[in-house]
Amino acid sequence: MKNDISLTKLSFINIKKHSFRSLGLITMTAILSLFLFGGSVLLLSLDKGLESMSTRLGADIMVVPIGYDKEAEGVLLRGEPSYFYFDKSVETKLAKVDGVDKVTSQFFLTSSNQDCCSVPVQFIGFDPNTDFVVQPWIRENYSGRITENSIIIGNDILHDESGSMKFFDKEYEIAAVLDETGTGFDTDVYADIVTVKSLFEAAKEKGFGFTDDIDFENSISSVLIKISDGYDIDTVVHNIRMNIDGVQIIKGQTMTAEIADNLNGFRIFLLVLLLLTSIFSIIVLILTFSLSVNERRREFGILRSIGATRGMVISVVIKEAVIIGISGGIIGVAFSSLILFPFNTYIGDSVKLPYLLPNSWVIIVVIILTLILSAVIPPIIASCFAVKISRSETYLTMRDND
Amino acid sequence: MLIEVNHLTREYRRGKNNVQAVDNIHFTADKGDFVIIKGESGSGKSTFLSMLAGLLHPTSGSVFVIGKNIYELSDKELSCFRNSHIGYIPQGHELLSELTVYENVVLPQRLYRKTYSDINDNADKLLKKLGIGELRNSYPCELSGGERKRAAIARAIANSPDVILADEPTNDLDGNNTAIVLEAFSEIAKSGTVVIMITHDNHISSYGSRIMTMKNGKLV
Amino acid sequence: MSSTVIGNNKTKIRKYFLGAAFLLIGLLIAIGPQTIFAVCPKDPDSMAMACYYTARISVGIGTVIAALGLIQLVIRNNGFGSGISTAELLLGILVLLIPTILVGVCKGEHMHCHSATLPALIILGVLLIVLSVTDIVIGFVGRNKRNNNEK
Repeated sequence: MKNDISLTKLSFINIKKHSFRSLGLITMTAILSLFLFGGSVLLLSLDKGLESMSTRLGADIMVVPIGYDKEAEGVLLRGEPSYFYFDKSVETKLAKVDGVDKVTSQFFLTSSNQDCCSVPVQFIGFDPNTDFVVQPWIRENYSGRITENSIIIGNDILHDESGSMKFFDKEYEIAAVLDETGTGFDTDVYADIVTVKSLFEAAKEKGFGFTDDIDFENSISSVLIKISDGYDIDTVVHNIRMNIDGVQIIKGQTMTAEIADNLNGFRIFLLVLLLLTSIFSIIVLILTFSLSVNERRREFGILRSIGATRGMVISVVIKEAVIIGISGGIIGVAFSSLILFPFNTYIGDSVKLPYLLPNSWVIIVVIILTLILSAVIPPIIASCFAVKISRSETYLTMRDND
Repeated sequence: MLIEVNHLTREYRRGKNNVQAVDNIHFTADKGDFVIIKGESGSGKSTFLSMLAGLLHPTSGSVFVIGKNIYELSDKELSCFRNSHIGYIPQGHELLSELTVYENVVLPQRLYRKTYSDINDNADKLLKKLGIGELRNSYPCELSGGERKRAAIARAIANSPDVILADEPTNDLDGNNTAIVLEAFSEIAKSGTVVIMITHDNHISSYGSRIMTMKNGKLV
Repeated sequence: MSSTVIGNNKTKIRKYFLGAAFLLIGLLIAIGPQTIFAVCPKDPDSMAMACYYTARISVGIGTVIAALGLIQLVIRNNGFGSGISTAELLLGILVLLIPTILVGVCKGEHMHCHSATLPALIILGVLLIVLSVTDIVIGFVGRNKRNNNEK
């Protein structure tokens, strides 16, 4: 009813009347919730990227030609296409090393995706008979057997609706598109070794030479190793070094450990930033609420004089603080979302770490928690001062501002 | 007796000394009494009035209003009691500046009634009676001193209380407005309400049914 | 303070706020695709990609948007307001259409124009539309109120 007045309406009126102060308080709360929400989503995305990376790596050890460990990491982590080769006999030698359970080789090739701009794409050929890395996660999206001239593509590979892609003027059927991982795996194309060989031939026909002295039939790019139960990685690595020269050994857990270290560094940085922002925001909220509540002693005195209880007076202040908190919370989450979600790919590329947005339910939970904190922190601060004032004698409170 | 005060004392600490603002007062008032308490600044009038309203705990003594010892009630009970039975008009800025005159008058009624329809919407009638009916949608900053005082009176009587306590209601008012305010109190007292008014103005004795003086915390 | 004075103050605040907002958004649209959210660099030996033209067109549109904002700030007559907002609304729609339908950006998700320029222009376009629609609605409601009061 238009004429109605109540203590709740009084809270709204007070916010409107002191609009400049209210705007300041809302801004502080918005900053707090922006960093809370943004920081949480960033950290969760990095964690999820690391988790998907660890799941995808599959192998305990990766062996590549000597000096190519950085290129190999670039392929896996950042989708930086590369190619390097060593003799196929390395695979056989590795299979005989003590502590090695399974081995499988892969063949790397890069190409330009002719469906769009000239961005190199990483081809990874695998041996369907020995592979234990690629086929398990291909099976998540594709139940059939990968046939000749069919390919499985990573989530970021551009393709049209036709269900096929062209490389070096040769058409290949897309059997499946893999789920996003937030890592370099998203820009890979997987096919069996026979298909990759045909691609190599097609490339040669187009005049694209990789290195002139590749013996394609007897070359591989990497060997992936699963160690036997009961052996530890360092022992197997040692055994490989003792038996085989000219190879670089990459431990799967080292790669994820390095990423985890970088992630930890980033996490600490974000947490410190979050802490500093929170402390700053809370200090400003404390100062502002303290001033605001003190300024209104006479108003509270009048409310008490007309029969308002201590609880009623405190509730006016708390309701104002809740409204301010929720408003600031919504604004902060909205601004944070405006940066995090549209620029998600850019952020992932910039941090140079595996980066994958958590699923919608997780994000909703984080939003709710952020809003709850935003709605709760200002009232807690405001009520401390309101309770203090409500405890003093009403008559003295009313005279305080005289 | 509607109001009964026994051995009422209030002490303040001023530096190292204890000052007795109200010193062992006995006082009674009944229906229809219009009591004017005069005294100079610092005589303890406001302190005494605020203790009658339940807004300041006495150091010792008791205050009975309608047979209830108000300082034996809990804060909730006392607040509710004050809302229903006591209309208090404070000195100086009496209204909430962010509410209109109408909203100020209606607010006490709204505190304990869940819905708007529960209240006795007599605000417009009261404002009209006090000659400020057309100012219902104005804010306190838009009113003159006399108009604000009348709005405060309307708020104090809106709940039909048994007791009206007014702290220096004619302070800063010209002769005309002073007369309007005092007339209003007289009428209210005639209807059976106890009106107790304090003032440092010695020239307004003619309106009260009882004139008392306060000096150094004692009521004469 | 009378309600008329309060109303005039609010209109002034709205005018300056919008003018500043339009100016800032216009400048970001004009220079952003060349700088902070730049499109892919043009290879001198090959044909320019779509994002290059998006950036070029954004300079023009952004400049117009900023100029209208400046006019809003500088001109005293409050009556210009809803005209400028209408123009900004249409320009905002154009800002949305250019990188998406009319001209476009590179298709690759990890290309800078796709990951940075495209979302930036979409956000700025939406912001422009929201601000101008809000101003038009507030102006419309305010005029209706005044007409009713006069009656």
